[in-house]
Amino acid sequence: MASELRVDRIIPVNGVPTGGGGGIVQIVNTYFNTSLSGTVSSRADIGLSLTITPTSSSSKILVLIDLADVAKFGGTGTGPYARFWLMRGSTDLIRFGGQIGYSGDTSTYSGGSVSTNYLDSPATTSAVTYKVQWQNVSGAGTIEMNASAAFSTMTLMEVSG
Amino acid sequence: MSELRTNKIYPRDGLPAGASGGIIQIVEGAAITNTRDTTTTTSSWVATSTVATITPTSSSNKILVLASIYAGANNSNAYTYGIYAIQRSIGGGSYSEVFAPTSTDGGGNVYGGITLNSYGGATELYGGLNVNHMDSPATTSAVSYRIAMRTLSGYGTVGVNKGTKIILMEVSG
Repeated sequence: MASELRVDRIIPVNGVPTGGGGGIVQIVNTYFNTSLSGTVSSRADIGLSLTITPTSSSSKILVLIDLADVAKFGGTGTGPYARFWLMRGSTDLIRFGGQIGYSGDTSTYSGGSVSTNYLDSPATTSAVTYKVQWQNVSGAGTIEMNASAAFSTMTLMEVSG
Repeated sequence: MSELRTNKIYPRDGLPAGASGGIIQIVEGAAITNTRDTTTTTSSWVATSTVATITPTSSSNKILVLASIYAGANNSNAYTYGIYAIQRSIGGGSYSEVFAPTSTDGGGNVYGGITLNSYGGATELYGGLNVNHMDSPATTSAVSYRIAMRTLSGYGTVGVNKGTKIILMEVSG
């Protein structure tokens, strides 16, 4: 027999744990596989973004991000390397992936995947957009991600607060 | 102690366009226990032993697949290319790809998607690959998800290592 619960908040009987959240009310998910490559000497959007509209201003948003195939390419000394930022709109939330692609040698290719999780408190019921920026902080050479159309993914979960 | 039993959780005013609802159940598949599953196959997907199974409570619900792949590759010439996919089986039927690369090169070889690769940088390479994929199996039969892999011709051996696993979440749809 089918049943359906319509609710804006799901809270444990004894309340929300300090610093945490309750049940999950809604989820959105996306992926992108556009290959990116460049010197990226200034921070730039990578093109992965996702919007969610919280049902309650007390809700939190759990952000899950997995970025694929991030690398230095072409070899210029020990650099270049990539650094990433998760942003809510134009606001920085967290920097992650400090030196992705750094090899400590002159190899032409070095890299891997980068993941982060972040529990945000946007305090709104308006649409909230999360996005990722990157930068080649070394100031030399080329970085790339999603090489050969690899998949990067983002999931947003509205967590009852 | 209180308990709520339901197979749909929606925001009070309904789902916004493009969104799914709350989580009904979660299943964690057993992590791979082999030291490593490997293949040199290039022409087809090779199943790993990483499998998780869930039985949706509603055919309109979705399954959020969280895959953590501890990937490995080796090749004496330092050119490696591991390609990974998520496959699905419904009701014990055959597996097919639900999250896999769609790109092919001039020779018809699949590339891209979920990858671990090295171009002249290392004869052995290891890395963690995490993927979140929202699937719509449209069934209330048991649904199994597994990780499959392949490589490209001349790119040596690829595999998955101990600890590779899948978590499944039934999401109200």
